[in-house]
Amino acid sequence: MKLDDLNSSLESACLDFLGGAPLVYHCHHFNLFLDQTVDDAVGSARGWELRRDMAHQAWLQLLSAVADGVGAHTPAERLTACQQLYAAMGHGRMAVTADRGRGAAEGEFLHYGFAWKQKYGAQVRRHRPVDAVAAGFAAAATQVAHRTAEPLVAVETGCIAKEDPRCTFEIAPGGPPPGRVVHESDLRPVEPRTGLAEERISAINAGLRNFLGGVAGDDRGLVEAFGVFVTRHMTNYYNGISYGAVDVVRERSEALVPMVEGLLRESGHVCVFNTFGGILYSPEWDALVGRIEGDLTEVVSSCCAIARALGFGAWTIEELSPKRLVVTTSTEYESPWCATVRTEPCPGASYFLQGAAVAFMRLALDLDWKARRPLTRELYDDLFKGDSRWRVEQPDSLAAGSAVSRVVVESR
Amino acid sequence: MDWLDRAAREAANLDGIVITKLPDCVEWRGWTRWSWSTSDVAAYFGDLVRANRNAMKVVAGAPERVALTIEAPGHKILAQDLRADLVAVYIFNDSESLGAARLVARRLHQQILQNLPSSELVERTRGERIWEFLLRYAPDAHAVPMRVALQTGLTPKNLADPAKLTEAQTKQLEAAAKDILGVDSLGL
Repeated sequence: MKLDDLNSSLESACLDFLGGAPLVYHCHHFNLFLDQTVDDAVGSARGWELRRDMAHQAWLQLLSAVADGVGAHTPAERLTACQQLYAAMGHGRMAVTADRGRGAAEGEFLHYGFAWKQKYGAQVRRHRPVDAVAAGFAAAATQVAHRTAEPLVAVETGCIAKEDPRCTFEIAPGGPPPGRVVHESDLRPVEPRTGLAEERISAINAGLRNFLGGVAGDDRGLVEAFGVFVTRHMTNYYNGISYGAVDVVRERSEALVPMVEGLLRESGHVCVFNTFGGILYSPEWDALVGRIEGDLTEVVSSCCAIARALGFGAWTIEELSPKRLVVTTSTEYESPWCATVRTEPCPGASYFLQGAAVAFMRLALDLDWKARRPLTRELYDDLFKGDSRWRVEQPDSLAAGSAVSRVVVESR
Repeated sequence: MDWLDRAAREAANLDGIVITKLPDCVEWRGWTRWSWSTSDVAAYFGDLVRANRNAMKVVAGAPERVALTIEAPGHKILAQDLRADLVAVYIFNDSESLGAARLVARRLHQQILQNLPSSELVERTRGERIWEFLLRYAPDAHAVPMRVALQTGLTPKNLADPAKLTEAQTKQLEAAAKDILGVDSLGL
């Protein structure tokens, strides 16, 4: 079987899987901001461990399914399949030397390290490695190559983000055993919902999904598109680190929970500005849909279509005015983690959905679409510094047993 | 219109003047013909003068008064010490020759000196200086208050008034600032 044959979708839900592992597309701005939030929330040492361990278990699920699915039998074949997948997903190139129970790896153009250097390298120094996702991959690939259940752990011994010449890893026994993760089989088909501008959203979504189907890593193993570095990434990683960080903060101080929740929402905001904005500005968009003019319904419905195409769920517009947006969805990628992996529900906690919905309104109403200023950090700071005039609430959550997740964004 | 506006408007090729407090690089007075953020100009050029004073400490063994001339595309910029805690930055457009810019700056300099407060300006607390430094140089500045709150446990209310931070809280803030900026020392 070929790798492409392992792709599957719950089409009515706009959720995508590879070998049963739930995947979405996210850009480097989101990835770096989310990792940074986790480190701020739980401390850099514990943050690294949390990110590395969640990456490890998410990669184990995905790599095992892919290596088995493509019929790779020998350790060399299985390792090759893992490394090819890593590059195809836009994470860069990893060369793993995998012995049974130990190994080493070297990375080139690793998504996190490379993008960190590009985005922040001229502004701040970094003394800690950044590639926890690659470390998780290195350990998981070594295990998958040799079909061993004994947990391995990788240490990043060199990282380009801290000015080392290359990213290097050592792999040895250790680390926690992998925990429960979400699998395609945990999700059930849902009745499609419809909302405002549904016909437009569906048509754009179909065109975008067709376009994204052809996206793959370049010679560097990176996907550079729409002005960002894009990864195909595991929702089990995103959810594991996000909800894990909230749990740690809650144990430490209930008063700090709104801070970490605010930053998790901000990661959604960052994503929409950079990736959604980049798509809306792109010549590909102009060819597929036509140049965007900046009308409120046009922008928000376009954003919902993009969210669906990126695998975030079947987001619909329930209500829209210049002062209020209600986004409703019977599927999104955060709630399944809460419902499947956690023993306690997490009501009102679809952080990405909340942050993205706020950003839809700000993108529509704060950005001068006629001027088309480049989507730079300076513009982001210029537009979004200071208190937001928008507040967001989530009255309904799939994770808490509701039929939908509903997010309400209102002008203060 | 105050004394600085009146003095500045008479200089046809002057685009802006900023008087910056040192060492915290905060604007004391500013004027511009355009829509610049004079507080940003104060911060960046103040930093430049402070760095040069530190460099002179290395070269001459003690901080020296400095005068800087910067020729940039479209602008000529002169930065001159007024006294230990204040520096003036004059920004001319390209129509002004360097010699003429120096003459105008000298005249303005005298006028500014006559209008300075007699005593040293109130020293800002270390907490305020660290906070301003962090907001100026941290990436994703809008996220800094929440990041610092998470790292330190300081509340947004604490951070809204950094002048009132205790010594222990100031140390926490400094540790977070160093972590966020990736530096061993803030040099404040």
